[in-house]
Amino acid sequence: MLRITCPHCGPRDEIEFRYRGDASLSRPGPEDDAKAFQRYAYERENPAGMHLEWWLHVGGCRRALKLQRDTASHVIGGAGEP
Amino acid sequence: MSKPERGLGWGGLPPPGHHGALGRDPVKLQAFMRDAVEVRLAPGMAEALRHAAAGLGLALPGMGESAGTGSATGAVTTLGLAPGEWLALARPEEPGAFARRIASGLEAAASVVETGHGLACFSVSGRAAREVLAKGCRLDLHPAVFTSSTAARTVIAQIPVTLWRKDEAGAADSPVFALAVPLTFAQSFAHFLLGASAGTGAEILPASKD
Repeated sequence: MLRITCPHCGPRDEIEFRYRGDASLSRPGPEDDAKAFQRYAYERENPAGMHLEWWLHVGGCRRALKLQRDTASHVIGGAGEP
Repeated sequence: MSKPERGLGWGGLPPPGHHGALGRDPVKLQAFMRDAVEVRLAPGMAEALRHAAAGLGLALPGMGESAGTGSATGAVTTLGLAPGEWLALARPEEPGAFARRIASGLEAAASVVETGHGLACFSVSGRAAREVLAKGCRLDLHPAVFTSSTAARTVIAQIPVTLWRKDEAGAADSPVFALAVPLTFAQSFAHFLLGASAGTGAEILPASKD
């Protein structure tokens, strides 16, 4: 069980949150080709280490936050507003 | 057959009486009714909203806080549930009247949505209230942390719950926890409350408008 410190609500249990994927991606622009969209939609790094993630505090303030989490040790580096 | 009282017919808790163990300190469970409106700050209108709310006599507390304001038409409790988002609660009056009053007072500074008919409210009080709620609530409800001016949204028994304190005047040392859940979860939430209070025993009070 993770204990996530929401920037609005303070420390709350993981059960109040929903994981919303990789936060380090940025959407390709209209000038980019299909390959760029393929990478954006499907290709992921899956690092063993620090990872920047979207989490949605659906059981609390209902705001999205960005969270830095170590995928190997579950240590949370920090959370903040997007 | 007489017309059922508005909001009394959804049957969350069993009829008034004793439930569970025959302890010396049964927890008191009660369903109560509130008119509710959700107030959301319109982008860039923070100053206008502050001004309009002051004119209306509506307190807009900070995030995670609750504030009560008395007015000619009755006390209003406002809960700060997210940045720029509040839930204002009042004793039931004419359907829609509370929401209209808030909406006309705040005008374009906020979006005002009436949500009262979608909420079921329960109060849990008595010496064992904290012990009973701790069976499902992950927040620290110790009076030093969850004070009479604290409000929070959390998840209890997989049901989204808005939690605040509804203490009797002059009795801040005996907290009355108030919980609002979506109306469709009222029955399930009542089951949770009954299960959680079976060990200490519960006294079920008649549903109230206060």
